[in-house]
Amino acid sequence: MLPKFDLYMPEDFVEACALKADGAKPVAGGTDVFVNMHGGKDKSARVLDIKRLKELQGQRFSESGLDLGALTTHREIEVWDEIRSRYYAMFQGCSQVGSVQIRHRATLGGNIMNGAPSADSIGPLLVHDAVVTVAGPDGEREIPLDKFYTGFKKFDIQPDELLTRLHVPLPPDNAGSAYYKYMRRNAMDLALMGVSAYVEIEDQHFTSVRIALTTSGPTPMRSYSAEQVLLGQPVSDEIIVQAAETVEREGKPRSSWRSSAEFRTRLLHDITIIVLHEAVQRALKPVALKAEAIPMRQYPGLDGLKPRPKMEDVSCSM
Amino acid sequence: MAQHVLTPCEKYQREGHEWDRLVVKRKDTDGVETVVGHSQIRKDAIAKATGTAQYGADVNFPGQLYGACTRSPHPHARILSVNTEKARAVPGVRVVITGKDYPEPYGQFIADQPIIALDKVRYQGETVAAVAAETEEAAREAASLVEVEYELLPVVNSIEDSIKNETLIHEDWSRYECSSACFPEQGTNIGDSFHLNKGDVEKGFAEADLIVESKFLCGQLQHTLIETHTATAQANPYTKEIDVWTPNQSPFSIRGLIAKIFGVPTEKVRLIMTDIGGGFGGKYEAKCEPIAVALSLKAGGRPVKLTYDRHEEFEATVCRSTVQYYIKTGVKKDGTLTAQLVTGYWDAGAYVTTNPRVDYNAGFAAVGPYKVPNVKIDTYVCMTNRTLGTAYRGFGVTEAATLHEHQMDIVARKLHMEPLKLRLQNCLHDGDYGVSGDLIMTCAVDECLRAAAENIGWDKLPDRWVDEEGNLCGKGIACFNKLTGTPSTTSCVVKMNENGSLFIWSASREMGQGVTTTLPQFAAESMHMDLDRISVAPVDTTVTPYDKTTTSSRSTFHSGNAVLEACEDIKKQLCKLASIKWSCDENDVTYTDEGYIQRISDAEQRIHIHDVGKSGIMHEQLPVIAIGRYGTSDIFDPPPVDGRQSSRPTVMWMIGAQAAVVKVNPITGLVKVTKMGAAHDIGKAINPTGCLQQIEGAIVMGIGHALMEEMIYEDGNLRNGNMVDYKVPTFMDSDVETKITLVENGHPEGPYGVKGIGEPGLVPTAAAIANAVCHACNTDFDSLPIKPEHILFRKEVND
Amino acid sequence: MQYVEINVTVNGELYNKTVPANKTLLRFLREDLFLNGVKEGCNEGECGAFTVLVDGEPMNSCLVLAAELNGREVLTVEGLAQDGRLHPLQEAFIEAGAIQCGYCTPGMLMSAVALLNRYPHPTRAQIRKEMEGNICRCTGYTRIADAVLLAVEKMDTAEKNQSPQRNQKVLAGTKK
Repeated sequence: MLPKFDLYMPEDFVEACALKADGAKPVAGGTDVFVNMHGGKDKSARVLDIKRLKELQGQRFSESGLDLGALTTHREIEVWDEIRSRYYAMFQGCSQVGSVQIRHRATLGGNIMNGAPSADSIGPLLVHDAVVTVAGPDGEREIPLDKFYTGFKKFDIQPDELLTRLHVPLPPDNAGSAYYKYMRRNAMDLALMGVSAYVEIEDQHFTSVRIALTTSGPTPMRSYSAEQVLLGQPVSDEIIVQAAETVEREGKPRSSWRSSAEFRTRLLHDITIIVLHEAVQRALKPVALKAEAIPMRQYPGLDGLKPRPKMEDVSCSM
Repeated sequence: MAQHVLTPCEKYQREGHEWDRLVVKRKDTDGVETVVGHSQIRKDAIAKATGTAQYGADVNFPGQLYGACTRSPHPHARILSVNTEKARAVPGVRVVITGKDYPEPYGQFIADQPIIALDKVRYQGETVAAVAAETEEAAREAASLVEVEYELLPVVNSIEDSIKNETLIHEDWSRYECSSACFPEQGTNIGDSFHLNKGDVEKGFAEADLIVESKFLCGQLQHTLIETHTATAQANPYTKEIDVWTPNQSPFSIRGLIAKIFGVPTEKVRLIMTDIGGGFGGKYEAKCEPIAVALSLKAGGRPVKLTYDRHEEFEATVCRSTVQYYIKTGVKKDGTLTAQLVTGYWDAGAYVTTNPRVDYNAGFAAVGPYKVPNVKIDTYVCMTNRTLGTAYRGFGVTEAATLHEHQMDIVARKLHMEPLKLRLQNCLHDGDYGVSGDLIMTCAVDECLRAAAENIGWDKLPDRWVDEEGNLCGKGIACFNKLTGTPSTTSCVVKMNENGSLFIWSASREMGQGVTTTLPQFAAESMHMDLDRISVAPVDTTVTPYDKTTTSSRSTFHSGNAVLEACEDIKKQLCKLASIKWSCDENDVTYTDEGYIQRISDAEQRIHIHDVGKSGIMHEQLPVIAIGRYGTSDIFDPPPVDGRQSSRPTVMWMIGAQAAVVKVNPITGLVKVTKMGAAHDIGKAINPTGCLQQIEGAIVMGIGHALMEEMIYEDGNLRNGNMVDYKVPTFMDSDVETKITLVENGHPEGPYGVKGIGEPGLVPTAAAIANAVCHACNTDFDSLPIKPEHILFRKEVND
Repeated sequence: MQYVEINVTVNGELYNKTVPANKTLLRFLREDLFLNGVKEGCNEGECGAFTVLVDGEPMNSCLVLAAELNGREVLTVEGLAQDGRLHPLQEAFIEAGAIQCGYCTPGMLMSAVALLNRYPHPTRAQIRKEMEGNICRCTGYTRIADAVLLAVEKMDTAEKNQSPQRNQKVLAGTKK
């Protein structure tokens, strides 16, 4: 049951900014806000429906990359061919949020502004070097997404500003990305932990690397030092394992009733290896084939995992 | 309505894309039937497919009020005061009640539970006040404004805490009215106990070459019915006539409880049953019903609708109790079991509810369908400050099966025996004597085990292997036996309408298991009549004849027998009417197997059952109406409390086995169940598709129990009381190759040989999966659910 | 309490209604239009029993405000049968045994309609993915996937025979 509130559905951007500055709760898809309201956790007396603001609408792919209105839904990302061939991690992230019904409503802007450490679209956006645009009555600012987060559910945004758009640059043909969402069931679940990676490969060397961690700290976060481990190095299983060890040191997963920090930390290490291998494989593929799923397999690099299951105990008579 | 003719589609179950899903092995049923034994379109399907079926919350009345409850945030606290002033001041509020308004406690086994907490709260979410208002908004707002002063008490979080008896949940059991089937221990947190003794376990252990001890814990589960609990009551404070519309599994037991709580004669309480959006034992207890009645009584008889939201559903309804088991098994070198000792502790939550029955049923099943000469079983219902445990699809037998099947695998490993072989060597057969010394009439465990194994290709698979992707793979198998609640009785009325169609009045509740299709099938088969012309009337306790309850997989067996008895009477009445019409002796008229009312002396003179309406034989004659009754008191040998040895503790045993193949990703610890093979001794498949539905659905439910679902508490606070964090399997988790064998080992007393299949499909599932995961990981996981954390940080066995 | 006036088409009928700002689409359908096929299971978008189509796309009606729906088109389970004739999906759910307690069925059907609009010949994997948001506790889902495949066969046969059934499918999901 939703609490009583007044609803504003302005079409004028400045009016919307004023309402927000005045304390109205912005709502786009409502898949977080209304859940909180039903559960009694959010008792906002005024709700600002921002879906009529044209400044936040529309999405376009061009040679300069993606221009996404903050109202772009996860479903729109999921079913968009260019996303799969150029921004595969975003496809992986957005297509695993909630359910089809939720993805039809839930927006990228909402996923960012909800600020959950487990947000599935954010890691992929971070590794694709997304830049957000926030705008207010005095004009707009562009902020790299990883600088936009200033703490747990805190952002570089003024009370009278709204997140309006995202820009995601066009990756070159030698780029590949991947996101692994760790969940206990195969749908309708939160990321217990997640790793995103973006790599560019030239002459078998990492020429550009970005790694982001989900549910491993107060916000989705980049792992800069792990990126530095790989940058400029030749692609090898060993260097990927080194990067994973760095990620493991950098990640700050918590223990909670959902799982222990020990477990999450171990996953961080192992999943980083899997995700980097997947991103590398995708980078090496021609653009036309980048949209294909790469089955998760036991990569040779995983020999660096610890503690390994004792394979010698296992009969291989199949 | 111009409908297409709907016909059962068995194409996918018989020629499935991946797999044939159905194999029926007929044994001693003859298969000449034309309706029974053939898949049918469910009677309830069209209403459900068009959104016109009426579930609990779909009931509305003009002038109805809406109820809401104030709930305790504390798991254990003394109530010092309840102030309802602010709540009453909310516009639209008509009634606010507290525990003092209706202090009469209730409970099916022991009356330990007030409908609204009186002196103290015993679990988080317990009702401390209730409100009725003109709108749901006003009711919920007012409920949130009730001020309760608490004195916090130490919280009993676990079985270990409970059995210390340092903090008592119920200080004085003797204050409560207690049935003869419940055994609380004064001055302790033990609400009930169960003790079974057969032979001499010490002697049995002395005879053994090997003794194996292990333990197993099954976590706390919630039914997670998609329809939350709801009830709408209209209770006249002057005449004391009480009407309740509710999706409940057990109309007559709820009727009795309400009559008792409110001190009114039973006949004044009327339960009108809506469709049920999922039961599984979760809608067996009285939850919303008494509170809605109390509010309506105080509101001058205005109807009150009370519907729980999902958080209330998790916190404040019912769940499946945690159980911690310890087991000790004696076995000879050749694999012959000599003795088994089982001790178990149920974390039953704050009130006893149905736990004595769970304890009892699980106790009789705790050694499994095996020949064990010496058995000792001691189990205890322990009270804690958690959500109330109750029936959950199997009444504890699922947990018992998980225990004994885990133990059988350990025994097999230690003896270097093949797990299936160990089971086959020890399992019961038709004519063997069971754990209470009773003669088991029909018992196809052997056949079920072999069929389940065959359904996953058991013989061709090693215990564990690694697939080409590096996943750890394993197979596992489990079998079980489950009794049905005995003694129990039922009755039905079968009435012929003027056009020759039939109505069955039976209180066996349709909750998705298909009983409103199987009962008409019995009548159709018996009468040789079109199934379309027979339907089950809605259930209303003022007109529907008594049935004990829709639980324990008993309905098809019990109500089926009642329907068959009534149909025989209907046939006699029709013969009598024909004899009047034909002016002949009624002994000269017979009812043929083809459905003709036929003159014996002149076979030309006959009326087919489909033509009875227009034949005129019923015109202005005594109406055709018959009663059918069935009960098991006559065959029941009450198992004495001391040892529970009995020649007939149950009218039938349900038997089955399932086998699983799993693959475990060694990096993520995630388990995928790739194949399930099931085989159940169902006696007779009345509606084969219906049997498969039960088993297929149970298998996916069991995947959740084995790998995903658990209620997680921290210091008495439920952490995951929502549908994201309490993880039931989704469509994406359902990709399991499933092959099912229905073994028809007919029961001599079952209608057409039927037993039951509502619960059994679930009983061995989690056990088989757990065994397969243990094999894959070379580990003895000793609790459910088995989580990735357990898998990644496992300790492998090396014996 | 603030009220909002909306003109909304539900199952082909245009309604002019005034609704409280905080009323969900689910409550609006059930309480104002008496369309009880849509169910409230969790109010968090997690059970799927809330599923209706808005402009042809499946949505969680418990998390959509009725006030947002001015000028939009809603389809519920009650709008599937046409002229007393069941939709092929409804027939298929009944015939394939995809219904047990039935509480999830209306939402499942609506997700299935949306699925077939996107993938007229879905694979089982596509069925599972597109219907992942609908929880069922009774069936184990397999027969629901069977039913969708059976409905596809029915629709293909109907199309071959130029039956009006095909039109139903189009009507059920046309995005404006």
